[in-house]
Amino acid sequence: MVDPVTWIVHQRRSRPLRSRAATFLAAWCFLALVMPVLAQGQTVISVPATVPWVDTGVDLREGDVFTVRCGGQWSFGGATSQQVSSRPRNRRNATLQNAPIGALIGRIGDVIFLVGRAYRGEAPSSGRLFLGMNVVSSMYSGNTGELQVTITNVSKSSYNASGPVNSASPSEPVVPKRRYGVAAPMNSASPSAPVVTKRRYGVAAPMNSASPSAPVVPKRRYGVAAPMNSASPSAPVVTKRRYGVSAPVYSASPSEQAPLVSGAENTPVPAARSTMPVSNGPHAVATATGRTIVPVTATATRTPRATPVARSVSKPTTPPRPPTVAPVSAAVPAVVGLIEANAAATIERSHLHAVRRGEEPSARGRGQVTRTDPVAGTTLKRGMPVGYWLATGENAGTVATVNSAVTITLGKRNGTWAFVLFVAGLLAAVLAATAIGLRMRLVKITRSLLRIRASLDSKSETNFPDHVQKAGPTAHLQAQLEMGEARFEADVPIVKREVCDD
Amino acid sequence: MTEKAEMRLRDLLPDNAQMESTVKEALGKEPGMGATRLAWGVIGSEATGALKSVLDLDVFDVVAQGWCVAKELHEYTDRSKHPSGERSVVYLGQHTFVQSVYPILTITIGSFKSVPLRFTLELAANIRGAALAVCNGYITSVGSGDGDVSAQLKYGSINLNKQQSRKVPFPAHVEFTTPGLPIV
Repeated sequence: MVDPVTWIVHQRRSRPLRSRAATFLAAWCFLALVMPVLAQGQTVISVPATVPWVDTGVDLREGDVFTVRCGGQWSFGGATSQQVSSRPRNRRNATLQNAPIGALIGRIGDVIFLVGRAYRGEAPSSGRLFLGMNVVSSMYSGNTGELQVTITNVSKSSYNASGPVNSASPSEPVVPKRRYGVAAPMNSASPSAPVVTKRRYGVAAPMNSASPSAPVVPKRRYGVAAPMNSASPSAPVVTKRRYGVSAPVYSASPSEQAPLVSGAENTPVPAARSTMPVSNGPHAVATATGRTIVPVTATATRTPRATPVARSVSKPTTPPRPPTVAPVSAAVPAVVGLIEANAAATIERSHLHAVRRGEEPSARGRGQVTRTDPVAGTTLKRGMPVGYWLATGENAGTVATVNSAVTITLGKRNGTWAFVLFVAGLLAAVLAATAIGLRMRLVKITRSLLRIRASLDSKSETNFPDHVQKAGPTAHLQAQLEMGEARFEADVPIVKREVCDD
Repeated sequence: MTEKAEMRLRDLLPDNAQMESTVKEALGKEPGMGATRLAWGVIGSEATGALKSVLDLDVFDVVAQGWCVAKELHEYTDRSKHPSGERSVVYLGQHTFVQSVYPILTITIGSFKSVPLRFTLELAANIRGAALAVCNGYITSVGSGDGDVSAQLKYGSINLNKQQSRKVPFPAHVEFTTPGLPIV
């Protein structure tokens, strides 16, 4: 005899709708994970030595992890040309006193910090990131040169690619640097102190080792490490990071390892690609093996990155150009609002034939095109006629206007982001539903999940021309009715006319 | 107007579900309408409702607009032929015309303002007879008439409904709001 509870569970699981809904939700979650990765951005700018502060255009929130990598040369005071990594002596009246003169420094809000050749850390405050040279007494005259700076807001990615990810070449390494990290007690049992990257020349030891021989474990604030269960140098060590999925870090032999120099700010580190650099220094960051890490191509503008890990070493190949074929179709241009001559010329330039259909009352000025048939954007064969109507100068007015609103309850703070997810989920729903023939049902599920409530009987409100509704988790609908023209098939027969004398 | 015909413009359109699907199909054929079509997929029923709400007009109001542009009546705007204050009654015989109206639907989601969707509703009127009162270049009232109308809703050149003819129960006498409908 079948246990009734088991039977019910079995029956529920066998329902196809459940499995389809699960598929839908899985697709939703997948998109929710993937979309933030796609949203990661990178900014490449030039920082001249003659400008106090250069606006990078990068807005950061407090705690955002970002990296700055730079190359190039500049000099200060007309003296010796200094490379970025050089460390001239400090000055009291420098912009940043405890930083070398001539070094690249950053400012977010009122907080100024040293960037140097490469920087990785958390934003000390919220605001726009400015970069510039650390100079004495605000003396920028005589400075020459500029630096090419690449800024990456790592916090925008769900995967935190730590280590020398953006290392352009072995000769241009990146030193991961933490300035605002807060160290936690080593053997902290608190789940909120999960950091841990501990490697000493490839020999992993248990995190909470009480042995006096246990090495010091450096701690990264933004790193979350799992216990290192490796008992031998060759055993893999699993390192979890706070922002990402755990990635195994394989301990290589000591000869294969290139330890970072502990505490060396702005010190170059031998670039590692498939073999991970392991260090006991405070800035050591483990990088997952098996990932191909390639420099990001610098461009003059902000370039979104598809994903921080899926990069290819080989240069992108340019797809072969398709053979050019003369287009046989043309899109109807948007000429509404133009005067007749300009509208006709525009239509003719689109290889279409402009035909005046008549005049009609309109809110537009006399002689302006009120509409076209077909509407703008319609694709026609070349030479096809496009009819247009001109305004008579009399305002036909809007016969009726209906304003309505569809409320999408998505939360106020992350409305835009939620909307993106909403559209992505909807797309997934449509794709899935097209395959299994349940489109309408899934759309209803989507609406119920997102708590979309329609309210067509909204209050009447004044809408001005070109008025854009406020952004928010609400879809506004505005329907207007404009009176058009009347076309008589034949003359209107007037049977009789009378004039009333009263 | 003192009297209203029983028929509303929206009554000549198909039901919401059919309209929703046909509009969505039409948007799919329109280039550059991907986002709008996507939005329509979610709020299509509300958008269709808004569209039909704006078409909640008396059919006779729209038909009467057609007479205002008839060239045979244009002479009544000439004050030399028809001086101010003259009240005329014009009896029209059987005639057919198509009066167009343009429902325009704008969907705004957050800061994303979609392209306004401009529909075309062609109201084909077959009038067998009507008596118009004209004064100072305005049609002030309409006497007894008879006819039938059909509506065709289109998006671009795509028909969104099947045109069906419906007989219009013309009211016995319709007085327009002063000064009336202007003859152009």
